[in-house]
Amino acid sequence: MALLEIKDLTVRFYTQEGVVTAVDNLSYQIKRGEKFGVVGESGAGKSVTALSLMRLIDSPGRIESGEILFKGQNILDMTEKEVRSLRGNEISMIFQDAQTALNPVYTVGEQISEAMRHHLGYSNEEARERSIQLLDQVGIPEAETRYSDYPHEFSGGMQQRAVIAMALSCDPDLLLCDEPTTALDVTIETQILDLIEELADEFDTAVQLITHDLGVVADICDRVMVMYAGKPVEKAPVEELYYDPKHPYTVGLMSSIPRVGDTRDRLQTIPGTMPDLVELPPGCSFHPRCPFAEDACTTTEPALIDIESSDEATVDSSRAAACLEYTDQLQNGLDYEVRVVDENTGSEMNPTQTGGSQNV
Amino acid sequence: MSQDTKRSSKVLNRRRLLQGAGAAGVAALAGCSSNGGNGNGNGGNGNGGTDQIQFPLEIQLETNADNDDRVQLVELIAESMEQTGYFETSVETYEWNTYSGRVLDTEYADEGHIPCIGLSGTFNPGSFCDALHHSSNHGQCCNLVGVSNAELDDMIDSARFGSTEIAEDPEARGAAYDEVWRMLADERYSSITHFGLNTAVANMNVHGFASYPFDETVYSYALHAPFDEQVAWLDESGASPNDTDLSDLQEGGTLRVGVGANIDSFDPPYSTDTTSTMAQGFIFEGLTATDAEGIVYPWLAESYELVDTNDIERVAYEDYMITVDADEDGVIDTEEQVIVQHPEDDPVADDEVRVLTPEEAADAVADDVFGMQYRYELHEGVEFSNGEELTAEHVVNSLRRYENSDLSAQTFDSVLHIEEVDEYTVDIFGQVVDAEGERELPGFLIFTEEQAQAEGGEIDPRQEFTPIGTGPYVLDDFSDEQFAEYERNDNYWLEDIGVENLEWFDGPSDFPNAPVIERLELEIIPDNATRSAALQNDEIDVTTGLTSATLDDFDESDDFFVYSVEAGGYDYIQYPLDVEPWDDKRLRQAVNHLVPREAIVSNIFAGWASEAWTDIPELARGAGTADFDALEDEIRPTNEFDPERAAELIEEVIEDRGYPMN
Amino acid sequence: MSLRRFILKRLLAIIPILFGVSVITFAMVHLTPGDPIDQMIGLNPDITPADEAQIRARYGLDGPIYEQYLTWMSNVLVGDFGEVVYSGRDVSTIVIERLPETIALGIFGWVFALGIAIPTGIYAAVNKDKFGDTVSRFVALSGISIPNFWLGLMLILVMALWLGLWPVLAPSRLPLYHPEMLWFLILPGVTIGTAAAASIMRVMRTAMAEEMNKEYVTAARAKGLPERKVVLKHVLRNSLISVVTLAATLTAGIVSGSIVVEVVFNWPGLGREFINAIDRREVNLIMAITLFTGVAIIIANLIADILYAVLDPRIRYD
Repeated sequence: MALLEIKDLTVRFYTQEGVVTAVDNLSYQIKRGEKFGVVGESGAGKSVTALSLMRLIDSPGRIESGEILFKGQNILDMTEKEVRSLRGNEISMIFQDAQTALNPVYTVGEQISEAMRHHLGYSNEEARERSIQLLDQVGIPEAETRYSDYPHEFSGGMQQRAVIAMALSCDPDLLLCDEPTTALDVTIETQILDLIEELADEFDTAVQLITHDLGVVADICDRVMVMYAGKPVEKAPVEELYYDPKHPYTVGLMSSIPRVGDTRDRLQTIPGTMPDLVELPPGCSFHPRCPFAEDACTTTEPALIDIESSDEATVDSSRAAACLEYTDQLQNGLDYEVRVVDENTGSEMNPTQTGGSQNV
Repeated sequence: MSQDTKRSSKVLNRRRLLQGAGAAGVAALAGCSSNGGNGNGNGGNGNGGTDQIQFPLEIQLETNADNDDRVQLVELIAESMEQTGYFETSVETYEWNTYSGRVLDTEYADEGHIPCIGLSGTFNPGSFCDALHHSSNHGQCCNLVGVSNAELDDMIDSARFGSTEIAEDPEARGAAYDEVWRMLADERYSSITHFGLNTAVANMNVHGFASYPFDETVYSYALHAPFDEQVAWLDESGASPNDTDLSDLQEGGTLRVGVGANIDSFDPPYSTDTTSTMAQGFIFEGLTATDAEGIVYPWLAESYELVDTNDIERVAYEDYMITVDADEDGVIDTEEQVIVQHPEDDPVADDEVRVLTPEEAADAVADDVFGMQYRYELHEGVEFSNGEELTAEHVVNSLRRYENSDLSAQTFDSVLHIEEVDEYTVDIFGQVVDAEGERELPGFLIFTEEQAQAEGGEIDPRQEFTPIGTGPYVLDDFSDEQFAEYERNDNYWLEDIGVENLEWFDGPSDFPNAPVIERLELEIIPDNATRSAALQNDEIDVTTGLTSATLDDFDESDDFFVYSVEAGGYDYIQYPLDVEPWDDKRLRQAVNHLVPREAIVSNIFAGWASEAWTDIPELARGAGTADFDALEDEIRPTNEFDPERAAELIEEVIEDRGYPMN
Repeated sequence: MSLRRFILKRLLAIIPILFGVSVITFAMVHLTPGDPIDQMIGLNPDITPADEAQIRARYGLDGPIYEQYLTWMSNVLVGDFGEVVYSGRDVSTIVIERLPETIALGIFGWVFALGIAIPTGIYAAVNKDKFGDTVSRFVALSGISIPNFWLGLMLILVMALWLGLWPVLAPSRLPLYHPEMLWFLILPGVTIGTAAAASIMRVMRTAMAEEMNKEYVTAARAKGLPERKVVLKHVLRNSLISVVTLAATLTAGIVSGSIVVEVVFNWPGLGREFINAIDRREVNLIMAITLFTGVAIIIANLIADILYAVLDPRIRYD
């Protein structure tokens, strides 16, 4: 049984401008200890997914339908108290901007100890000791003195480490990382990602890594889901996604990753922008930006199709994409080629030759 | 400014309009800085100088802004004048200090306005005519319009000074004043509108209470005044004060009094406010006491008599005077009390003045140069509450303590000298023959030896110097700004001697010798509304100084009783007799007929005042008139509200003087 | 600089401020017409202008303003605040005697203001835009609009006279700390604190509503903390900062409000004393009370600044 199973989750926001369907019929699963990536541009509904998991969606948002099964129990059916006992305890969250996620008027150590005292019943002393241990584990030097320091006395990277410590304090089974490195510079980014990976392995914690950065996903995720306009458009194990992307959007994302040594003046981007979620385009949400769009795309909304079986994808499908191509409704097909090249040698790589730096 | 807009549209003197507009503009600026108060300065200025006098006559009435009742009173009078069509009135108010500075200035008389002000008269009938009309009071209180009638001055003076007959015979004195009232009614320099009432409100536990014309003495009098057979007692059985009399007298109890200001001082010569005087009155006593009609009775003195008089003027002391320096403000450079200053010298104008100090006064008396000599025989065996025996020496030292104190001016304008004759006999000498001497000369309080020697202001329980007197109560506790508590004096002299043994007493033999109420608790509550609330909530038993509206409520209630008596406070307006056409007395008489005295009393004071049909209230009638009824019959018609008569008189003036009427 | 030095600097700044205040007050009192002697004498026909001049000279009330000011200042520097002309009493004694009552009333005003405002503000913020919020805001608006003296009189009327729950007069025979005395102080405290409470409540509500939208609140909830703890521990402390600023400013309002309240409730504090002093133009007393009030307000602001440092670790003076 999977640790986390999301089935047909739909979340809507009732705003003054209109109804925003932030998440539309989303299904996926995460197994114990698995690292699952959720990728997409801003506004794709990635963060909403994570917040829904913890039932932290507040008005004007509403979880309309679906199931969120955590260890077999539907979170959406639980009482408030039960959900609260999950939060910070079995499911934890790491936020994008560590600075704002920390309360400026309390010490970092206190904020780490809080959850432990509440969930695990630790005494002040016990919690303090454990917090210092955690600070040490996340790589903050002089952990004991740093316990009593305030957030503004930490650098950006250190703050994020502290937030990670906070999240891991009660040994959660699932760690939700919402763009954990977006606010950090590249050198720190690597450190943090390594840290997450290390700790996740050590504590046997599953990770849902939400990001818009494909490079991050490639680094540590086992499986990936690509989202667009609130819908899942592709799901695959990470290697297959990179070597053999099935959805035009995924392809577009990959080609827009900046490469070291790239001599072009401008970044290659996918033309256009994410549509306004209040007024989605008819048919396939991506069609206005898709180089391969045809008439059929404007009328028919493609379902998520399991590539292997060509039927509608289920939660167990490991390889799925939402494009009319896979229901054979496209006339011209998808015409692209993906080659993975080793940056050092310049020679093409195969999926089996993973390891070292993987630049796409 | 309550500027009336009913301006006749027939002929508008354009020049006057422009001048007025310009003046208003300038006055608006000037008024802001010099007049404080509301509105502009000299709006309706009589006639604007050289302009033709014409009717409707512009006239401005003025008064001080902080007294709401007075402001309303003035507005009523203005309205009444306006309605005749002969006047265009405006009313101007000023902040108190600004106002008093303005009207007491001698220049004010030339402005041509009608000022309104209030005074507090006493048992002395002169207090209802002297201050207002004597020429010497122009430039100080309170002859605001420059009345200068030599004949009137003489009449006023001789009704008080210079004659032994006047001093000893109230009827003779009364007849002299009757002359004054007649002349004043004829000349009509001022109009007194009403006499105030002194009211006290008490709950039904207070029995036998009666009010007294002066707040300083209200409670002392009510508690025990054998000369009027007055005694108050507490009865908590629920019986109504209307149903009980002296035979139901009960002893003991605590009377809780609400007083309207802090007791600033327990040192009589160094306090001038009513509440302090009242608080002192329970403890200290004087040689004499006065009843509700102003008649003087011997008190600490067993008896007294006017031994001798010499009809002299103050210049007679010339030979005994010494010369001292005076600076440009008129401050006289001497440490001694100035008893008489030579009438022909002016301390402001002259560098040197001749004065009489206590030392020289003694010399003069030794040579038989004095105005009056009163001799007082003290009761023997009178003790202060601390056991000290009262002797003539105490009396002498007590009066001397008033030298150079805050009350020295009022004391030493009549007292010449005091000396001990023997252990229980004292002579007090007056400077001139003065009908008020009987009341004024012994008008000081008597201290123990130690207190008489104390520095000014030193007698102060807050400074551990408890006031000790001969009076029926002793001060038990005092907390500044909060309360004062008194206890009966166990050592009270009158209890030893017995009231029935007082020469003048003609009441029942079982009349109490001292107040019967055991304790007094004075609660200091400055705010009227709070005092009223406290009385309603049974937190105090009696209080004074509530507003007319509240009085009505208490009067109608069955649980409370209002005690009132005509007092000496009065308001008056004066006419600018130096400014045409107010120099014609017919105009002044006319406006007097337009003063709506009845409306003032019923509308503004809700009936809690007395119309001034004559110039004297009840309390001054003893010495103020030979026959009050006759006086009233004669004078009242001139004070009646009579717009028709007023119109007649005004028409006469207009015709005789040829003023244009629009 | 360290907190200690900061405090020291601020305390030293009191001196020039008080100097300025004293000059202005002195000038204003002297520029208004009338002086204590006028009040003492009133309209007494027996006293001539010469007599008046004599009395004035005796009390040192003659002489040009600057001379009188310098005399006053030189006395103050040795601790002598002069005397009241009316009764001859020592000004400093009067002020010191009235201090306990004044401070008691001030404290009650504050306790009430904060005691009502903070919980109400929190309640309104948490229930933002719901019925409870609307009611609170209406009450707050009334609180600011109702004049002190009217509220005081109404409270006396209803609570004391109609319902008999409170006495009209303070139980002045009892010491300040006696329960009955403290009970009495509730009504004047409520009257004084109402306007302040209303303002504080509004600021509290706004500040909290703002903070509730911040990310650390989501993070705290994500930790599974109960909502009460999220609001009262995390949000509240951040919101208090704006409230503290306002609260310090309102000290001046409480001081000036005390003048009216003390008269209505017959409370013998410095406010009532001040009114009397103004009525009688008692310069020395007016100066002393003004300076005292100035110091009180300055210190209130100083305490506010110190509280910032305590509440918000980002503002530390080092």
